[in-house]
Amino acid sequence: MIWVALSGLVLLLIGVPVAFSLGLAGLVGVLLADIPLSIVTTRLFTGVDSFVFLAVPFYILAAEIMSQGGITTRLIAIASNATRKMRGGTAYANIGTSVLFAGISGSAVADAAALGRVFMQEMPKEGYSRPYAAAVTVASSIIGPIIPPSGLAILIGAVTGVSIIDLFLAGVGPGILLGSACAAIVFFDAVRGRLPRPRVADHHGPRWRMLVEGVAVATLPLIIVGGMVMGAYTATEGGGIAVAYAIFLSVVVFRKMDMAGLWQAFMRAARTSATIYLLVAAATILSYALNLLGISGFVREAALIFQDQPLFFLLALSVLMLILGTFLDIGAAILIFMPLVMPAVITLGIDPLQASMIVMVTLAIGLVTPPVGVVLFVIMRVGSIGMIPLLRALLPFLIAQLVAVVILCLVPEISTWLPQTLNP
Amino acid sequence: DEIKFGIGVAEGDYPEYNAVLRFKEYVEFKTNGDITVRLFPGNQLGGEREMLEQVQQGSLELTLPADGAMAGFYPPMQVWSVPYIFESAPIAWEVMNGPFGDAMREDILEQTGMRALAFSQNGFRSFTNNVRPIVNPDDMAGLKIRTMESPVYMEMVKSLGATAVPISGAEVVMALRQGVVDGQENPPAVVYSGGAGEVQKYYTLNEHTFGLHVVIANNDWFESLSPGHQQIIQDAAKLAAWTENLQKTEGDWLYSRQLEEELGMEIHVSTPEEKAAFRDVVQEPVLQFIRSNVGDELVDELLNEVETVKSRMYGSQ
Amino acid sequence: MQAFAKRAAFLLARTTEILATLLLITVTALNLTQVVGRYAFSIGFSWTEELMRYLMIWLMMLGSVAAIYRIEHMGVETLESMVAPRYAALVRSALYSLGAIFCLVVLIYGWPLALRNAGQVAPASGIPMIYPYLALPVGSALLLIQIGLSWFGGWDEHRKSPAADGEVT
Ligand code: NA
Ligand code: NA
Repeated sequence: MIWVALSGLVLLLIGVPVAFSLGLAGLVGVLLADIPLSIVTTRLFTGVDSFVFLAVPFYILAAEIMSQGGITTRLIAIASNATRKMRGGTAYANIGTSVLFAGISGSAVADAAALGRVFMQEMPKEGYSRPYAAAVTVASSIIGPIIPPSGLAILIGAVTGVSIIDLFLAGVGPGILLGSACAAIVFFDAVRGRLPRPRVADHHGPRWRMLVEGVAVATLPLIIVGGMVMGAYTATEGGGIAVAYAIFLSVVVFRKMDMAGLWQAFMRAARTSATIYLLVAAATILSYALNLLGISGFVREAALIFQDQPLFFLLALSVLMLILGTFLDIGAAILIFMPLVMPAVITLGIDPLQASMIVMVTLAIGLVTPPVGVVLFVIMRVGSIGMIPLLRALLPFLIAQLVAVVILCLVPEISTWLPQTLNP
Repeated sequence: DEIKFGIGVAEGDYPEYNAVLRFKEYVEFKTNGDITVRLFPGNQLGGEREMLEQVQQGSLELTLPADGAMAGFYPPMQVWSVPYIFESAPIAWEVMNGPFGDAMREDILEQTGMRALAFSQNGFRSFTNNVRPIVNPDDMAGLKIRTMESPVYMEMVKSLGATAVPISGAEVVMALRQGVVDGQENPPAVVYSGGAGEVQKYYTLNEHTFGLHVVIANNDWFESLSPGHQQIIQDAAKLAAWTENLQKTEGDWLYSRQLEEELGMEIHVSTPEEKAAFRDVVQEPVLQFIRSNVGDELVDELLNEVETVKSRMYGSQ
Repeated sequence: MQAFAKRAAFLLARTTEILATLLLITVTALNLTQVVGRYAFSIGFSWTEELMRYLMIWLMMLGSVAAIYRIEHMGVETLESMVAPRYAALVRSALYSLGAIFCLVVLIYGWPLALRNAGQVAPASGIPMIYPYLALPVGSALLLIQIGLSWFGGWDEHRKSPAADGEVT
């Protein structure tokens, strides 16, 4: 087992694309377990021949269309209008936009890329330092995959059998908590007078128009989650509806997208979906090999240490996921580790939704920490700033988010209250 | 040597798991530990279909697929799915273990290259759903029902006016939970052990078909064993089969009660009249479908065998 | 040689990404048909879901070929950023060649797997199972070709798609 882990890790760290690293580590495992290699193809096929993963491409596609179709501009207008009188207003607007954007996109990277382009131009003009602007953008971007819809929630649902609807609902509380954690840091900085007052926010046409457009955009997550809660459609069908709605808004209402743009959005979503599918398929080979080599017994014994200590288990889980999240792809981490962790969670009497949220948040924090934080690289590229100044500005935000993780461990209701109330 | 036995059911006090546990203990005891059996419960190695593929390739020595998954590899398996053909489990046991069953195991070896060591009882299959209690066949209209990945089961569900959605056994609970389907059909022990009971409300014990399991092995591995060890494996498979036969039969009421008391399912036990109503709707179309799929000869053979067994067991009426 | 490889790599990527896009459009249409069918016409389809799953497997393989060209498979860029720029392409070629081992295994075992499934038929849609299974050997062969062409043609940054930062996880 150690050889499988080691080979996987080395391949990942030297830079073999994640999907191939996982597949190759799986190959090593299959060889070690003395199983014919033909199993690799069977697993590759059946690993993704599943109705659960079918939901993934549609949410990617919806976010792709929404972020190209002039919707980002609307969200920013709404958020900056609400915060235009406050000191540090545009920093709040940045966070607020991420919360709104999270209702469309399931991805932190998409958030950082789409909002980074705008805010990295606007905020320095108003007098924010470039590193600070980047730090706010990066820190708030991880709200994207926590608030529904969420690609991570679908992956967790797929590998653990936890209801995707419940996972979506469970994400609302932690997402708002993360947003508040970021806002708290901005608030402290603003109180100490370190942040500029905003210029007058840009208006896109009349107020009422902005309001109507804002409502139209904010309706999307309500349609998706609401319909799923009422049992009107499945997560996959909800994704299809999200795509249809996104096309309707971008092409018909906002007229920011023509057929060529739409085709481009489909093409990008097709490639992204393909890479994620390959990742999932390769991860199933690896988890199959780990099962053969007896990892479930290993985990069961490890969980015994935490008998009657669910809180310590959750804290240990957070630390483990923070470490994993820093150098492992977040999707891969979920695919490999969630099936192993979940039995222990249930044995210890922890609500699977609480544990899932903690895993999602801690892994997402890994997206914004070095050395492998994808979001960091995106913002460094978009905002053309260096790693060290960015990290210095980011540190207070990271501490606030770690505090949020501890709160999530202590207060299960933040994760479980909404699903229990709406979807008992 | 260590061999691997993969099953879909999770570890626990369930008929299938107990059956393979008996297999393991018998083999390890009788071979003095020359052969050790490692169990992989809970779909760890993939769904039924996939495990069968692994047995065929030799990456897995043994598995226990249901007739639905088996039908993909060996279409004549569908013959067992004629609705309401077995009035009781003991009749089915006699047929599975008699000349008809033996001939089919031979044929499986010839057609698929896999060695069917024994047939066992998966149990009488009945409908669960989340929409409404089902009493009569027309209550099924419009429901979306998960079936095994086998055309004959889809045909049966269609003949009741419902939509059939084939989904792998490993994903049933998720499909029910996510609302991909409204219901499914399985024996009480499987509804309980598989977790469908936790996400389904209504259960009607209409017992439309008698489901089978096959204890099936990779033939190259089996033939590589000494004759003595082959015998031990063969005996262990029979032991596993009988363990499942008995626990599944007992399980029809045992697990129904647990589903009701522990999980709060609403259980309806179909009266003989209600069952007859179901039989009148489904038997003919499904029988025709099976005839066109596996040939009249095999179907008639089975029907005759059932009559023979019945008269042997109960005397001519 | 290099010019030819460059051109061929581009054409292969372009073809596969167009096919993958058409697949995604089809899958989206099937998904919406399923919802509309149920609510507008009260028809339930049993084959849409199955067909979508199989199309996605083709999409996975074809889209992955294009994603190699566009350098969109997620990965760490440690080694490449550590070596001198003129060796970066060489390092990338070496790393993808490790990945190619995986593709080779899928190709070698995927072909007999597809053939073995030739006799089986998908339960809901009635599609012979060889068609979905063929995605593995065909796709991995194309992946190998694309990696090979990129060896010779180079890994220029301009191959990246504009605004390709939108990934999901
Ligand atoms: Na989201
Ligand atoms: Na932001």
